[in-house]
Amino acid sequence: MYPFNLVYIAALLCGYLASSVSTADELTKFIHAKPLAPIVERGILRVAMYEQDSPPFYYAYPDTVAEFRREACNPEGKAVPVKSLNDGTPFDCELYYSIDNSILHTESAQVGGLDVELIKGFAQKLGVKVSFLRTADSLDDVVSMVAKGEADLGISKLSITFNRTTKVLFTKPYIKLRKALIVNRTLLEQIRCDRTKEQAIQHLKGNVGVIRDSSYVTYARQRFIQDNPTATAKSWCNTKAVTVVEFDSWEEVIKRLKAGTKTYNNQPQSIWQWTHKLFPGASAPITNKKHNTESSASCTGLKPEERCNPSERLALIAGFRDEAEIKYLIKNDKKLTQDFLTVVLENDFDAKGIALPADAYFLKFMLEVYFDSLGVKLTANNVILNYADVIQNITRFRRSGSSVNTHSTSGERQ
Amino acid sequence: MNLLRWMKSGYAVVFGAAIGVYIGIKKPEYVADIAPFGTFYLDVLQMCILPILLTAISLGIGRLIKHSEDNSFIIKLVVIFICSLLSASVVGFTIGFLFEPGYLGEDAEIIGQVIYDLSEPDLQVDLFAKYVPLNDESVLKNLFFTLVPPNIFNALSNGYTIKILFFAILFGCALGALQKQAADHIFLTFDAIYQAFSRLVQWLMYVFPLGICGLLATNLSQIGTQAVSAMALFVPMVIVTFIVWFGLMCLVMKKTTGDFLGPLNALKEPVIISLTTSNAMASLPSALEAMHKNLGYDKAKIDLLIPLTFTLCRIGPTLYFSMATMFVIQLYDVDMSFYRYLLVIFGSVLAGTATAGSSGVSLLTMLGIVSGPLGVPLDAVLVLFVVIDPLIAPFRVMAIVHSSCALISLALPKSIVFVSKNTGAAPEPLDSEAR
Repeated sequence: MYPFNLVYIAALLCGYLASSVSTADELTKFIHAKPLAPIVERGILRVAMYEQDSPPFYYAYPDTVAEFRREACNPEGKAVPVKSLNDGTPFDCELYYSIDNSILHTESAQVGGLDVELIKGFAQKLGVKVSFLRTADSLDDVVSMVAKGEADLGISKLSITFNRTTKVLFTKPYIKLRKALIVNRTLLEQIRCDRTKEQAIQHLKGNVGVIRDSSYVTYARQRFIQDNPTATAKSWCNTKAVTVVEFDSWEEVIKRLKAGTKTYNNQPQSIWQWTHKLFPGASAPITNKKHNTESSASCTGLKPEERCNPSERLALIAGFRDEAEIKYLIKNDKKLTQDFLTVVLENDFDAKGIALPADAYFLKFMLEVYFDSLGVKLTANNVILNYADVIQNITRFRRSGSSVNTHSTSGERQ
Repeated sequence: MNLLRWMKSGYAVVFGAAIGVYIGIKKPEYVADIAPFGTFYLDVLQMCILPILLTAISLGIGRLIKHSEDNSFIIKLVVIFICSLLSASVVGFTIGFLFEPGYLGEDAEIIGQVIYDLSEPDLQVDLFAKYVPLNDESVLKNLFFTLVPPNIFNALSNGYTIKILFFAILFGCALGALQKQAADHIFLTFDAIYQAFSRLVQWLMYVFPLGICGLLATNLSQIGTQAVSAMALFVPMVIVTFIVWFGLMCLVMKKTTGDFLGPLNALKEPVIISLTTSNAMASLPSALEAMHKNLGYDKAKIDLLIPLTFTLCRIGPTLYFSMATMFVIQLYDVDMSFYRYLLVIFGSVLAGTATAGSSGVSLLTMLGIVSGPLGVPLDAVLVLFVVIDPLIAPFRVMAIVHSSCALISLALPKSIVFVSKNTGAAPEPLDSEAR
């Protein structure tokens, strides 16, 4: 019975979009008795969201921004039409006061970011208010909130993983981010063994930091854990030997990475590198054998310091996350480029989707149509380097959508 | 006629240089207009260099084999080479050690900005692409293979200096082994080619003021001012060190010629050309002429030794590399030991020598030969050295050219026909020694 319903609704919806009726009110009336009923009756779209910030995807506005808004837009939110925040984000008083106030539920006004703006626009199209529930203490918790029905959908740059698809439904990816590493240049140089940097990355050795309970724990194990435990000294260069270390937050990973830049491994292997270069026959005795014995499993548990070898725990060779995070980090602290190298893993995509309850096919379809109709190309470079433009595109769409009440927009007629 | 004489005078050169500096720094919008003069001058100069290089070395070695009895200067020169390279490296190391240019403090912020703006955004790696096994190439083997040109015309048309050098030496040896009549014939021909090209280079000096203007303007406009300001201690330190080294070499010349200003005046032209063109080989013709005509050294020996020292005795790069390595070490705050310091000194000599035959930015990548064994990452800071290089390169090349002349004067017996303080000395009959 259910699939039949779905097809029926989908067909109706297509017809609806093709016709020239597009006001939010009529849409709400139309879907009144259908699977969206709970949301429409409630009048609020409940959105589960990770409690920590990850700009520019989702974050709480810092106090300074709130202040800026008060000063720039009082009274009645009309004083300054469009201004830029310090970070170049366009700030549109009219939009944030007249429109946001109409759709945002209570304290939710204080969040922003790409994911948030996308959902604000969607809620507006839907004609309901939106409430961001920032109680999830891990990304998996966002997923389980949606699975338990505590939220209508879950955002926070969620990776679409097999584990999660067993619990919830995902929209098709609205952005595909490649996986990326931020690598300590000095430590990389030490495991380089006369090869190119690319080859050294392929055979990474050392501690790699990831966020606890994130999809990157699994990703890292699949990609970097040592591939030949019986490696001899001679093939040391050509084997992976990574210890995955989990941290409570990305800030912790960065802190540990930064702490590792000035500690220097004082090994007298240099002279051997030279003789090796001059007389390739002579074998270079590489003394870093310890990596082979101690990197069998990732260090899990509450305190990584306790589970991991204390001599190794300080220096992280790399942090592992998606390219957007890593580019954002470098962009905002350019001093890091001296000590760290950013590496993007090619053909290794991390698809990001919106989590929905397992039976919410109708909502999923609407969200996907909404993403397509935005006409904004979302890539890591676009979002990180041209964030202002991307957000402006999304909000422009919102404004045009809200201002047209009885006439259709040209985009929807096609 | 008066204008022509004026164009060749020192005033015109200074005038041209001043205009070039002014345009390069203050009026970059005119650089595009004036740059073609510099390009033209450099192109014509380089057109003459390879024939001169080939004929000079072949002639030099051929004549030495035919006539010379005393070849002990070659061993003497090798010893002088090694000692001077080592002392250059020690000087650079000491300066870098004492002045600590790499501890930046607040400038680190600007350096990060410069690196971020200039380097590739990120490295793209396919984790599961086929792995290329370890590259077991030895430096010695590589050097040997770069020495031998499988096709001499290919080497000539591509301007591979080291290969041409190698060929010219072998060819000169073969010429020396020929029967006297046949050898004389080819010596005459080569000498004619050599002199004709030298004459061309002399004529070119008439447009030198224009060339210097264009070259300086282009060079100065390319400097990354942000990087220079970030390396506020390093850049002046390097330039001053090169100037001090220049002074040291002048003292060496004073010891060998017994005069301080004379050799300085005699080598004025090659030094100025090296400073403006940042190209050691471009100052080869004028250096040959200055050493032979102005300082009166034996032509056959000069013809052989000057091109050889220019390519092999890399004083400038060695001195620079030891300072640059100290900079990188301090930047990354590497723990150092006595052993590692030795590594810097000998590594810089090795890396400097490895730059033989390369010039410009590709030369800077040889810095990896020192930094690699030290385990210092170079790729991030290399862009810094690239952007400040237009400022450094002239002095580095000047060190190569001037030091080479000074070291040769140390190795050769004292000149017989020393024409002091007279750069416009009347040319001697060049063929006299050849017969």
